[in-house]
Amino acid sequence: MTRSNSLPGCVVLCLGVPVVLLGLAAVLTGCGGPPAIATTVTVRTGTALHETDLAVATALTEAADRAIAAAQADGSGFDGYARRMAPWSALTDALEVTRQTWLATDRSLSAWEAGDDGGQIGWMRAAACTAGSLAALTRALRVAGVPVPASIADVAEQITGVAGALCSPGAAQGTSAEGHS
Amino acid sequence: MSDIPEAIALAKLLLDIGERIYRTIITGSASDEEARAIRRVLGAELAAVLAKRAADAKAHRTLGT
Repeated sequence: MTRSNSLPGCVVLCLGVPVVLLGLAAVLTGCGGPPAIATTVTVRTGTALHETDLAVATALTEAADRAIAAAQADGSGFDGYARRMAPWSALTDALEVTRQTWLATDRSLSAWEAGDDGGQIGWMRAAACTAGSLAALTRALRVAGVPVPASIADVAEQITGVAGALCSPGAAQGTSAEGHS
Repeated sequence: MSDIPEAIALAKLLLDIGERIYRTIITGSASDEEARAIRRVLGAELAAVLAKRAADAKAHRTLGT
């Protein structure tokens, strides 16, 4: 009844809680720049992405060899190969989207460190987009049959917890990767 | 009355987020060296993308287009 006047609870939580927590972290670490947790989450996410990239590269090469052999065996040619490799194409797309969102997060962190106006909110938005692309990457890994590295699951949780849901609609192209999976 | 479950859900969410952040903090902070290294690696092309390109080229050679 009286709720019609207030913002939906999830909006308040998603926007408010991370801001409050980052504010607290900034106070605890002395303000004037990003709290250690923002740097740590950014670096850990990049490291997890790199580990996943290497694991996917190895598995993809093996899968491609199998797909070539199968396409030769059934005479389906390159089309047969491409059909078998479709989940891997979606996976490399998801990896590339995550790399791009991570680069944006890293650049925002540098801006925040340099004291640029909007550096903090820029980092939170970019980190939220990275969280979205990590979710799409996790789905693409599952579809391709690649075990999801524990490090990816960990950083996905951490970056989501820290950055909340500030990614602007459409900015996390990672969500479009769902269409591949 | 219906606010009580929402308050409980909020408390659970705050505890969950707090736990994630605590876990991040206790696993240690990233060093500048670590940050530079990962920036260098992810600034370049991904290994998986290169592997896919190489695999596609091999498939073209082997199977034709």
